[in-house]
Amino acid sequence: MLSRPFWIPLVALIRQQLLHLWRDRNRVLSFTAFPLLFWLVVGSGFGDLGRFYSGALTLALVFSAALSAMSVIEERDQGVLLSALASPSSRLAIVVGKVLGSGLVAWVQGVLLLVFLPVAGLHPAAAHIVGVLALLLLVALACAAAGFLLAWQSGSAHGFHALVNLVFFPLWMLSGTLFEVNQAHSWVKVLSLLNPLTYPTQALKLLLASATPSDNILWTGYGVPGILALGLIGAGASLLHKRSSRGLA
Amino acid sequence: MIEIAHLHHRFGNRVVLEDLCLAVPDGQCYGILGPNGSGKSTLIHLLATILPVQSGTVKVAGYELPRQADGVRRSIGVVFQTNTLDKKLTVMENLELQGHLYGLRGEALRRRIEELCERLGLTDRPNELVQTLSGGLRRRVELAKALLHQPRVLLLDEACSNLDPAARRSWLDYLFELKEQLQLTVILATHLLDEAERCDQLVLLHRGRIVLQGTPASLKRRVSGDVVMVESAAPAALAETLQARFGLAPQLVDGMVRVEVPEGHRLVPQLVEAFPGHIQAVHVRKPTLEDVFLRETGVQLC
Repeated sequence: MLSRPFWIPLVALIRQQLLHLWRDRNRVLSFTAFPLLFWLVVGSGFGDLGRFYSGALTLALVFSAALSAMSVIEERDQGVLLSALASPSSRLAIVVGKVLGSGLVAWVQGVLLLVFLPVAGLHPAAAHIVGVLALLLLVALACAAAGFLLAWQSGSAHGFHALVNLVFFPLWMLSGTLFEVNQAHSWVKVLSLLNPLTYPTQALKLLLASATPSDNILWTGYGVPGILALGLIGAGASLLHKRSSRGLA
Repeated sequence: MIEIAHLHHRFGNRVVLEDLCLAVPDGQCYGILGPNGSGKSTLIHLLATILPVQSGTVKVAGYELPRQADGVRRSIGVVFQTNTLDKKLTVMENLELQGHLYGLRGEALRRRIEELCERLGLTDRPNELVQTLSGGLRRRVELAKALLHQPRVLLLDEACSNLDPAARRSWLDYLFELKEQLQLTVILATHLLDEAERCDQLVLLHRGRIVLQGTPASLKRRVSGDVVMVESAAPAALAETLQARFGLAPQLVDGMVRVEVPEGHRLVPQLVEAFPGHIQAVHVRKPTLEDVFLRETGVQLC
């Protein structure tokens, strides 16, 4: 049986997206403008910049990861992904390469926002910052994997935009960034507990505040996005195997 | 090199390919000629393993689909109708990315890229961003991409349809030179006559079925004599009269009356005399592949 290239295409697809990040750095930087604006306006409005800082970070990650997956729609029908599908590359390598690439691009944008930590009045220790960086990476990867799946199944960029607004925005709103989940109305509380973004957000808030999260919060904070990313990547690879047969003649 | 037997394909209820059988020998260029919607792209996408084979057997370079898809993928190079280059990357970065998809890297990949850039006149372009290249150059980079892993079979799906005639001619010159040098087997899907004329064999595809197959010259011999095209303000009435008075079998094509006759130049004065004031222009020409397609299917190529 012929072997399927795995690592070389995987690294090449990550490199492709990092080159995009570098060549389009002004556009990418502009993506951080909205979370920054949200944080400054809402935080200043409530007179507590620190309270909404974690929300700005997750907002940057969620939307950047989802939107950078939008390139999948174009590349699937006309672009690098079409060439990749006709190549002997492992289908899993193609999905992992695209997801890691999109996830890293989103992560860089989240990390850029960390320069505002002192402005938010937050001074986490170095160990906590390492924990935050790892957490942000897992959330970015999970969002990128979800973005890949949704983009792969979307007919057009417009449809994908609508899906992003319908799926990702409610997830972000219900993750405990705008309110404390424990104090919310019972139905909101149930939805928040079902929301996978709630758990890393909870851990993120504690790490940023230099508090030591309980083992339970740490496990769920890192575990939920990690497992979600793995599951969604597996689902993506399976989708590539069964590429739908539409639209050609 | 390529064996297709009883291939059927459908999108929902729509049949796109029907009982397609085709055998392409090593080193030959087979043109798949048909209008939009005839099933050409579907056939190329099936051979390129982008679409799954629903029914029938497909073998490429000895590998059978879908069981040995990896073997097929290593044996084929594909130039799609749509752009597959990353416009934000340079020519070199695009070619490296393509090589990496096939597991190529290092010195071997660099040498291969240099060799292809030389063959395709791209030696002074490697560091240019693809978005700054002309359409013709982009297509040449696509061809280099398709040949990077040294495939034995090249699949081309309307690969240069979007180019102007001069750029297309130049691209086709590169293609057929490389075909000879590398002894490639080529499947070329097209609706353009200049591309079709250069193929060793042509397969006329209409509504998913092969209607005719042969060399371009043998196909053209099926239309004997000349083709006369008559422009008139009332083409339908003219066609009726031509049939009644001259015993011809006229067709209405693009608002003109088209007839096939053994000696076109003899018909022209008779027409002008028979329909004074009703004829705006008369064209006499030798039959083309377009005429063959029209005769066999009743529809035009484009």
